[in-house]
Amino acid sequence: MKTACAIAAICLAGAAAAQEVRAPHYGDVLFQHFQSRWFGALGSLMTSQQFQRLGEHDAEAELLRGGLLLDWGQHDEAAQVFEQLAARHPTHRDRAWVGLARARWQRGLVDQAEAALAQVQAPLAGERDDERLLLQAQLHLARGRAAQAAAVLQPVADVKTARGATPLARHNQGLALLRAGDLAAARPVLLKLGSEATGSEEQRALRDRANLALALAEREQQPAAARAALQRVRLHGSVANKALLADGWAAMDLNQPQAALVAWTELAGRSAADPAVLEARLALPQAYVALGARGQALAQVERLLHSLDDDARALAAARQALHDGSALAPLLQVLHGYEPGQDARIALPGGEHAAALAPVWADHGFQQALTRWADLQWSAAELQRWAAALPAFDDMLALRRSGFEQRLPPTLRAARDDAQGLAARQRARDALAQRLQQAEAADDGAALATAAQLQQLQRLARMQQDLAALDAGDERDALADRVRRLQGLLAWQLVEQRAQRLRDASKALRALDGSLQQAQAALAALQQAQADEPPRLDALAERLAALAPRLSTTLPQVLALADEQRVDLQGLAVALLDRHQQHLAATLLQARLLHAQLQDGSVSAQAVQGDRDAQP
Amino acid sequence: MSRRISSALLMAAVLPVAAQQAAPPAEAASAPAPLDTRIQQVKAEVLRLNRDLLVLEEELLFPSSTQLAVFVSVDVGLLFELESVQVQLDGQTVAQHLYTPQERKALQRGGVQRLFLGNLKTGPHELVAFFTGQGPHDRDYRRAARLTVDKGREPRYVELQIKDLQKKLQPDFEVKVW
Repeated sequence: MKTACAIAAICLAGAAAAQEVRAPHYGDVLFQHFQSRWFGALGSLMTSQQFQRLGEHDAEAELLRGGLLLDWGQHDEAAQVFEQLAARHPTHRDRAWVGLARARWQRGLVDQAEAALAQVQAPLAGERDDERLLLQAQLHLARGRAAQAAAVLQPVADVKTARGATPLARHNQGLALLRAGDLAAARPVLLKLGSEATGSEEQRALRDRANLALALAEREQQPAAARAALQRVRLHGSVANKALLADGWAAMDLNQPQAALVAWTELAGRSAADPAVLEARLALPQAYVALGARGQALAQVERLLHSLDDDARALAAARQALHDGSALAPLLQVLHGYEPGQDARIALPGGEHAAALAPVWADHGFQQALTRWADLQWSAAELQRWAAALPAFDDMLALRRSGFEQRLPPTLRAARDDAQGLAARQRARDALAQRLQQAEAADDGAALATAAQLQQLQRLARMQQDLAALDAGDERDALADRVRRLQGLLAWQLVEQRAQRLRDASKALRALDGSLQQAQAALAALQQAQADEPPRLDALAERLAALAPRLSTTLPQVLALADEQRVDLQGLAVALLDRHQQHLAATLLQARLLHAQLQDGSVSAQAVQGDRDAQP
Repeated sequence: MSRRISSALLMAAVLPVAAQQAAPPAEAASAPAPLDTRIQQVKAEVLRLNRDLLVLEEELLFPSSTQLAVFVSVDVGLLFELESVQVQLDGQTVAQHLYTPQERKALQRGGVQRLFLGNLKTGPHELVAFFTGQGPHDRDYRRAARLTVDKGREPRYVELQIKDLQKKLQPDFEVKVW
């Protein structure tokens, strides 16, 4: 699942890099998606779709929604999304068909997936096409057309500069060639992937798998080359046990029982939950026999018989604990804090039956069922969180309503007040405009005088009056002359500044008009709000009231399904344990046979060698 | 006998990666388990409920007439490794965030983080964003971007953009109003 998600992420990442985000809310969805926060991304995306704020990313967002739904296990809904997109959006139809094919493939519907992929008319742009080719190859493989699968992957695998999907394409191409029986063609592909220095854990895992696959293919003809490939597999990677087992057999093929002993001894010390470990424990005595250490071989088989008895007892106890429910419950506790998309594989916690349950836990089907259960738990927790928040919404709504009812009427009264409200301001503005018009018409500089100039004009007028009261004479003439000159100076200044002041006054009047218009618009908005807000608040209250019963209906459904899923999980675990028990029983039988053979001397170094040579 | 077991085991290890991830075989999938179908249905309802609640929450707590959202984005991001952002509105800190490596990566891939969602009265407001992180040559870097937001009656979206100025080999901080 992790790799499938990675493929989708590769394609979407390519899309994001190539395309500018032209709506911030779409970018927000991508931000969460790139962190694999599926639920958060879906919530943001669907909310923004509701508010219609994704702009030109609408169709792109719908494609992303389909992908996210697929990631979250909503295959049916995802398929619907892609089907609708393919029908409605010609520009996105090819990508929608690829998405639909992926949804159907993940449901195991190979025919329908092939039909969907056949609808794609042209290669997709850039790295988006890689997803299509990878999927196409998987479908070919599912149909047994291995050579075609390998050919389809060629454009992704054989590139000079590796793209995001290249390692996976090389891996799958190599394996497809092996399936097609073309070891010569598979060898360079797997060798290249298996020798590359890689950065991410995912790529390292692919490298390990490529080396293991190459080694298994080479072992028959070139065990030395097989061992060389196996040496490149990490000792604690996901396929380490299988690689150690294969290394032992390859060493035996090369008649190097000591080397086989090293590999198998390392493997035999690991958890018996892995069938490879059981096989290594069973194979170890053969390596001892090949070395002529029959006593040690016998001791090893006896240890194995004891450990198999212990394992069988532990398994039976774990099975019983699964039945009475005591085994699963503590293991499920580990999922506390789980978030969809954040845990690619849920790790097995320790505990009384942890070792016995390890093979169950490692099973792909069990992990999927476990994820379904965890998703339901997560959903229930989300609904509970919302249920706790709803009363606060009620309070907030009541607060808004009371605030609106208390503050709007006085605000409107003040704005409508004839003496001090907007009308009075408008009248004052009109009076000012009239005065300005008069000043302009009268060519009167004094009308535009500043406060200081008006004071000066008044003082000069008073001086003129005072001069009239003085006796005639030189002194009065001198003073009169000074007053006349000052009047002239002031008149000159007023005339000189008049044009600029007219412009300033007109500008200020226009600004006043703007402010008054804003105030009028605000008043109109308030009047509109007076009409709109109560029904809007009523509508919100209605929606809130409708959501509460939906929550209280859905939450018990989710919890009931989670319980059902847990029971299903328990049944699955028991079935897997039974399978493991059968495997243990078969191993026990083989161990007893080997023990008997060692005791009666029918197994010898020559016999082991002969048996190896007889292998095809 | 051991070798036959070995071959079966080992071949299981070399199935193509995606083939192993594929869901159950077609026969099983054509008749999906009722439980799985019911789980999908209830999860779909959970998603719809979640959407309706998120929409209601936003309409209730952040009405469009007063809504302000602040986003953070990174263009390329090679010259600046973002560590934290702090946003002040009219002198008050309204949001701050410390970035995880995963978040930084998501930003570099084209994601846009919604850092703040709040309410603002109509009129002009001063928004200041402080960015801290590692600049060129691993030097500590602290820069601010300032903007006067004129809030009207429509929702206002502000995006704080961190860009690489290749000419100057310096990061650049811009504010875009949507």
